[in-house]
Amino acid sequence: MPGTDPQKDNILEKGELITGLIIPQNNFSNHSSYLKVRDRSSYAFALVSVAASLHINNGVIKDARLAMGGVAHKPWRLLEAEHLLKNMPANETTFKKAAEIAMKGAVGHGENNFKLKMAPKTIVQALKQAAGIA
Amino acid sequence: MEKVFTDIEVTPLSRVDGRQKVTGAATYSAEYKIEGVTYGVVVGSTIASGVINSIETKKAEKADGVLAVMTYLNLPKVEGYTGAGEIGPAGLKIFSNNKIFFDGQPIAIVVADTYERALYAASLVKATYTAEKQVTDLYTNLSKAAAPKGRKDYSRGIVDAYKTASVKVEEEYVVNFNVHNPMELGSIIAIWDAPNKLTVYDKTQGVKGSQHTYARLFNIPPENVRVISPFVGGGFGMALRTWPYAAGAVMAAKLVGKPVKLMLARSQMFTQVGYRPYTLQKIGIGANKDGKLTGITHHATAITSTYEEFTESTVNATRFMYQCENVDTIYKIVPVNLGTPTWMRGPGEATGTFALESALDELSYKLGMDPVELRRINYPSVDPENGKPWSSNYIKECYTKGAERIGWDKRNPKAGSMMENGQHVGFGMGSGTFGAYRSPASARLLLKNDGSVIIQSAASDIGPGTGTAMVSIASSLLGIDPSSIIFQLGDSSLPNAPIQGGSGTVSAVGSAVHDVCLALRAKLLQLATDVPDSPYKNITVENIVFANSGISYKGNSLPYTEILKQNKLPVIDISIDSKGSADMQKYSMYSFAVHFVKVYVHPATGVVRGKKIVSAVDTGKIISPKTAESQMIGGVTGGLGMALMEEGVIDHRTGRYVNNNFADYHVPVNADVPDIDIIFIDKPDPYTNPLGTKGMGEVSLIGFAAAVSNAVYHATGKRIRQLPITPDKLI
Repeated sequence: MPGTDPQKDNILEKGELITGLIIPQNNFSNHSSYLKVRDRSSYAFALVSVAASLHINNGVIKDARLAMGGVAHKPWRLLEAEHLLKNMPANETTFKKAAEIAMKGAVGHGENNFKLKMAPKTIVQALKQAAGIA
Repeated sequence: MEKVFTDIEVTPLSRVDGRQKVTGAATYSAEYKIEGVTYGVVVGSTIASGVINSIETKKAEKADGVLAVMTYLNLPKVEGYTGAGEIGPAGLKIFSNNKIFFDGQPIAIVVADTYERALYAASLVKATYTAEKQVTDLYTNLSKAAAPKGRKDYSRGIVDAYKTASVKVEEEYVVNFNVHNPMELGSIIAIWDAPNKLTVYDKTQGVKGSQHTYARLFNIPPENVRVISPFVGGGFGMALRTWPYAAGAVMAAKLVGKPVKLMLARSQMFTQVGYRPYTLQKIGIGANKDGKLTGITHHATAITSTYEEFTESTVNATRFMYQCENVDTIYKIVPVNLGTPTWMRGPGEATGTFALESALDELSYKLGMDPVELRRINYPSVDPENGKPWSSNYIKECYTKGAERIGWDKRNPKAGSMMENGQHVGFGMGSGTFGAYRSPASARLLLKNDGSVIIQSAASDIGPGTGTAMVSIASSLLGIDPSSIIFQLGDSSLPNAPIQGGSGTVSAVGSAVHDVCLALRAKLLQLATDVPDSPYKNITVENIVFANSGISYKGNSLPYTEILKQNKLPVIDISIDSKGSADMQKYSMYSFAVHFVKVYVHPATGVVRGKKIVSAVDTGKIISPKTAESQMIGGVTGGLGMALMEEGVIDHRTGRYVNNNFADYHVPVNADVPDIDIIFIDKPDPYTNPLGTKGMGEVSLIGFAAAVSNAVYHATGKRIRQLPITPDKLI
């Protein structure tokens, strides 16, 4: 996190340049979704966004990747929720548990209190979409 | 009163200046190439209340290309402007002293040889202030709410009668700050042709109004001021008055002795040129059990600046929209540390009907009555405010046709009962009205010996297609192909026309064009009759057919060009002043709109999307169907923005806008706008003017926000009484 330097949007140092991006081989391609909730249909920042990828085998989640946008200074990976999803059935009950864990400890600051409600719902919706049960 | 409508058949046209607009050939105020032009950039204050202690301008003055930095310390002596008082014809007299009334108030104009150098030098100007605590929030200053000067509370029958009704609603509604934000920024090129002679290329909705404002501002005769503005890239009300920045540019031109071009930045559109004021409203509405209204109380409190009273007709439609014996309205304003608000499309009526039409919807649920039916049974057969007959009122047809087109019969009346594609579905409706006027206007017509026609009037076109309507009218009345007719507008040297606001252009200028065409008809017949052995002798003009660029009577045809030739005339030149009769006062003249909206609301995220819009409008006879439909679509899209996303967010700790750009101040994008079906009742009003028209620009979004809000309630059972209806309010 940028701490007292909010102008720092990333960890690149002077003279550094991103030259490539490696996506390791994975089994997520059949079950992924990105859901962006915003005040208008295009050209708007996310109120909350969720990226969800699931490796599902016979209805069981083998592995998961889950991250949120619009809730912190950087994309917010939900590691505990990813861990919880592993070896669980790909259904709404599981996704609600994942959302609950993902939101643990989150606090609002007044104007963004609505995100405490919007974020878990969006996580569930994104996971359902990824699983193909939305 | 005899009806004045004359039932001309009008040829529908495509936009006559469409090609110019889409090819970039249309020239807007800041685009004129002026020899020796210099560039002005406004520096805004960084406090919202207080006084300037010092302004550091030396660095800016020494920067490359800078000609001058104008502040209150070196304002040129301009007769008129430098006189007493802080408020002039263009509002706050900026640079007349060191007082600050709002954040971003101009404290300097930097003039340089290029825009970039002026912009850079502007960043070098620094001021120190003694700041006072500013208030930009209505609620903080609510105790200062007061009736505007000269405005009285209204009541008929019993005050607060709703309180004793068998069924009643009493609620508060909030319309947020909306900021006009047309594509074209506020812009001006000011040129002093002589010490008391001024030419301005001005973004304005009325060149004549601007002309007289500059004349009064600088104490010079109006005929010494020429305002040119043939194309306007949208206005929505922001260019209805001349603003301080424009006065500043004219003074800067005086200071540097060169033409000055000044174009606001997008961020300055939030602080320099008005906005729809934040308005808190209370509605109390009561009915008996069969739905007949027994009392309506409407209170509105809106913000204004600390230095000017801005008022609008927020509560006025409540007095006559529905049959009700007991109606009382109160309108108050609260001064805060912001620039003065101004009319924004639909103005106060759009704000007021959000409250009224939402409250009626709430009442319909309490009554267990269809919202359309509730309105229908409270239709007033005459204007209940003054007892006058309507000049025309087809709102009941709007209800019927709009409901049919949106599929209202498929609406399950229970809120939250309908789903489609995993989303809540809601149907809502709301009505609106706006006064139909006919201001005086003048027109000049030139028929040349090549058969071409030029018609001139100092009208404006902020987008509705003024020229297109005027060419349609002239083409129909004269029987001349539209391609041979040019309508010239947007120049104060042309014959008088009203400002383009309040939906009055076609009624005023269209009537003038109508009248000048009739005058030409009479003149042509007279000239044709003057020739020896004329077959037209003793034939009255009513019996002549004007078609195919000529006159004809019983097989005797004569081209207009031939008439001019026979009379050895290079041109026929006719001017006419046109206005309505005092008899118009016998009628209540209004346009009406009924908007129907179908929305989806996402159950998980609270995102609202319009799925279908039907707006049925009674705006009299439609003169130019294509541009009229476009105008309606534009208004409805504005209404969608007002309902769902437009919100100027002010950080009250600093008194500053935090979303003063197009990324953060949301107007609808294409993907937000669903199919919009416009239904024109298209029946002429017999009394408004010879064309039978009523206004359209404003009523296109009046009542619309309530239609959306009512649809959201129907979809979800959640009543949102504060605009805009963003997902955070529904989640």
